[in-house]
Amino acid sequence: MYLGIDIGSITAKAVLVDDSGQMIASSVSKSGFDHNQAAQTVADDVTQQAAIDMDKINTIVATGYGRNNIPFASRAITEITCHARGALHELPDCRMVVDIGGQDSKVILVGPSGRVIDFCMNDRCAAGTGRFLEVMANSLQIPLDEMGPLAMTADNPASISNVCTVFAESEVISLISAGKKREDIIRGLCRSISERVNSMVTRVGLDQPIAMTGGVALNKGVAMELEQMLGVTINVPSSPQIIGALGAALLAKEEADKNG
Amino acid sequence: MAEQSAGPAAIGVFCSYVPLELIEATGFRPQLITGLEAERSDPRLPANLCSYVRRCATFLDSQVAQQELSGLIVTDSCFPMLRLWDNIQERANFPFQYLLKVPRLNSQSAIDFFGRELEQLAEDLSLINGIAFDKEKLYSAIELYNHFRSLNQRLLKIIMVGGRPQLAARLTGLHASASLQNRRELNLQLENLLAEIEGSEPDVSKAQRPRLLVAGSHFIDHKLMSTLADLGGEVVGVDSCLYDRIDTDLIKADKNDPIPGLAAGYLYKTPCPRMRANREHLFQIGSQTDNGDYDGIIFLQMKSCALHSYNLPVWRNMMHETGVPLLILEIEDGEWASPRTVTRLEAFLESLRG
Repeated sequence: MYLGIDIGSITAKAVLVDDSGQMIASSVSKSGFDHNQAAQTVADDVTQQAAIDMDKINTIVATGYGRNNIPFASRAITEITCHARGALHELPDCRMVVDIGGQDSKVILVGPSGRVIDFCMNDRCAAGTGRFLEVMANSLQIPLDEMGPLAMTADNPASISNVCTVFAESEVISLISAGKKREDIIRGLCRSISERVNSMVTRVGLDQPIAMTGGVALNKGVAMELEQMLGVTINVPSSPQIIGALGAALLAKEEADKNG
Repeated sequence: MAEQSAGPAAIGVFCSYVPLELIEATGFRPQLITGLEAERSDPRLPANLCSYVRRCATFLDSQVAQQELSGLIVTDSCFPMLRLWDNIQERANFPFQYLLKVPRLNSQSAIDFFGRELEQLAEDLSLINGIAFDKEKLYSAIELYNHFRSLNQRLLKIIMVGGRPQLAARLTGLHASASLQNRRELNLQLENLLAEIEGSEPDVSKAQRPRLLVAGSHFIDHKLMSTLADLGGEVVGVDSCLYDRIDTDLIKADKNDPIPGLAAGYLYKTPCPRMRANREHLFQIGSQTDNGDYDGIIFLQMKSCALHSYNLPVWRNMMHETGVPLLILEIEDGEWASPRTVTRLEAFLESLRG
């Protein structure tokens, strides 16, 4: 058994794979302040699901923002490499990964073997990330997971000109005051996220098939806007937020295989 | 920087266009201002101005600068440097403050012009030190610095061979402390390092690491070199416009009139994109990548450095043609050590290892 743990800025994820590389269990929890504790929580959860003890796990690879704070991991690998590997597992001919997490977004060009060819990250500003959507959901007084379905019902998307989370929030409040429909505002927000992703795609050069990973991929409005903007199909795995942890688990297996 | 007090008075310089030999020959000690100790938030300068210049402006207000420096030489090499000069004129009060004009070409007429500028600088420096400018002393200083260059070139050749992942960090670490020492002492330390290295074999097992060129418009921090080695890479080449000119050809100076040779040497093969000759410089790097000297290039782009940003598309195209992976980090001066930037470095090395 091989375990991948992804400690992101907002959520901690774990994926357990068996000796054939098949996913056995997964878990998602809040990262909180104590990364080691969060890692332990998700690791305990997947071992319980699989009904195994931790000592049955051959190799543990940690990834994500808190990857270096997990003392029980055998190795730390960056989330860029892990998302590429995990996405390739879900979409075997994948050539580009768009990962939008809690506090950063990235575009990764992937080679046929899963090797990262190039990448581009936006981590200076919360705009275009999961946190951006959280702030906006709060302003619009709706649960985060309702944003995607609502965005799909928009008929006249609002134009959100600001690229900064704080100023975009002011703009959203102005749009609410102006009587703009909530679904149109949400769709406008999805479009603004897609515009930021589009600029990163341009920098590394568009390639396809594209897999979209990270928690924001659960928002269908963002995926649809991105699809329209890039003019290509965006493939969203069934559990996009665990792809980094899945990649970490697969890399743990590959490393163990290599070392015999 | 704070420790030095004995010996000749220090003249601070900000840019690698200032011939350090000239300062040495006029009885001063050249001190490269890195600004690394200072904050990047000088309130008198706009936030989108070069962070190196902002740091330098903050540093010049510090007690250390006031105690250490007897003078400053700024070059008109770029717009932010000129704003630094404005800033210095408005509020600094060092005994010697000088703006050195640097041409943008290395044609004969440009070299002649720069030679005249250097002659004037030498006269002015000598005057405040109460001495007459002595061309023989300048020639001796050129010889001293040529020895420094030749030692560095030997070390860089060894670094290029690979198998000594921490050697680039050690060399750049010595250079970082150069502002605390006189050049003779630095040369001695370089000779000692060479003797130690030449007496040992490279570690073949470490020769498999990705071979990196670190380039761009940042100071080459030895801690960055060390971090890259710790992450599993090996820096085998350095090419930064703010770095000491360690790999340029030796200055070919005439003993009776060394200034023209000095002027020509300092306008040749600079990594600064303001020079037309820079295109040749880029093609030289391109040919090195063609030769397989580098597995990857890390380009540290100083945020808000317009000059280097113009060159980025050229770098991208060239690396695309040669197939050598390029990581561009557009960051503020000294920001490479932030966890987010280290993640990018780590991911880049992971991609090179495959």
